[in-house]
Amino acid sequence: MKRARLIIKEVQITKHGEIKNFQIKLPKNVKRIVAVETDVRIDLRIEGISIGDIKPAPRFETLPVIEPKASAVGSGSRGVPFLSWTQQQNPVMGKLKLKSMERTYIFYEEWLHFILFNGGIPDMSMGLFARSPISLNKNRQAKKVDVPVETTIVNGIYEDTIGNFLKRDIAYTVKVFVWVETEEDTDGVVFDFQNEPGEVKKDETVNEK
Amino acid sequence: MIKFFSKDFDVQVTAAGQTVKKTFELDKSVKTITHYTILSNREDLTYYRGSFRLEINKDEIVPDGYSTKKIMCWPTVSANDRLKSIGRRSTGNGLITFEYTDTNDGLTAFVPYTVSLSVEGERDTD
Repeated sequence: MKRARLIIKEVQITKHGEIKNFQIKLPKNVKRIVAVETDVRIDLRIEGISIGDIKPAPRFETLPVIEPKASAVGSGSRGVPFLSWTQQQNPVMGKLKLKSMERTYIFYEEWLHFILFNGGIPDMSMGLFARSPISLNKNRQAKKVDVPVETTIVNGIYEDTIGNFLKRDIAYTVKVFVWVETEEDTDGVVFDFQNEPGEVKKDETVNEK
Repeated sequence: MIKFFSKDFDVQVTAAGQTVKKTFELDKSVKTITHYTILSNREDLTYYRGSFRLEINKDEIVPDGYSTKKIMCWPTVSANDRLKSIGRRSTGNGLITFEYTDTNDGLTAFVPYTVSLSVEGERDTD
């Protein structure tokens, strides 16, 4: 087993329906791509999903997360049902595809979700109180892939869909984390995704304080 | 005999968009680092706004820009999975460099908060 290194690529999306082609440069001593992770950071303020705001989340069954302007759903407070709890849904931001020169087809494809901090929790604030500070999120693991590479470029395509859905421009940053195995020795550093299934992650003998 | 070791290192984020870099020195009895995680007194801010870089003994474990939300854990995560495993990295000179970057985003309003790097490892007893 060789040392895994992380390569980070950030892609800025500013317009609805935008399609971005990008390249991820890998180090020269790369041997293969072992795992991919993704993340989304929303850069500009969007109505309806602010944390400290008293405005409740949109109704689960009407829109996923991002609320239309009050004029679009009704006038004033009647736009939001009174004393009804709502649940937030993690919105789909767009689609990411990665391609390596050593593979004929796309080796990684994912619908990117924006994972809200307290997405799984019903919003009981009724529009009057702060939202719950508790998160029910699970830790997401890097998705394993096994792509031996010789060229040091990975091509990526990202297509925005949330802007198309909401019919407006939303500025956000897509982060692509590519874990690559290099020719370096591990020096004892072995990440979770390098462990074989069933392998013991933690030394059970070292448990006394 | 080898014993379990655990310690938290705090950094204060006092301004929006700030990058805080701190180097911590481990006790000489600490031989390896096996796990780490990131904790905070404002988990929502750290979750949405944070990214970091971690270096142990001048060896970069993760580069600048890695999202803290990939590392953070919650009460719903089982205790065994709350810390990120990095195998067994020897501490060498005993220096841990932690660089935390706060970035403005569209969901949160900044207030000063504290971020903790929590590490686990092994130490000699003597």
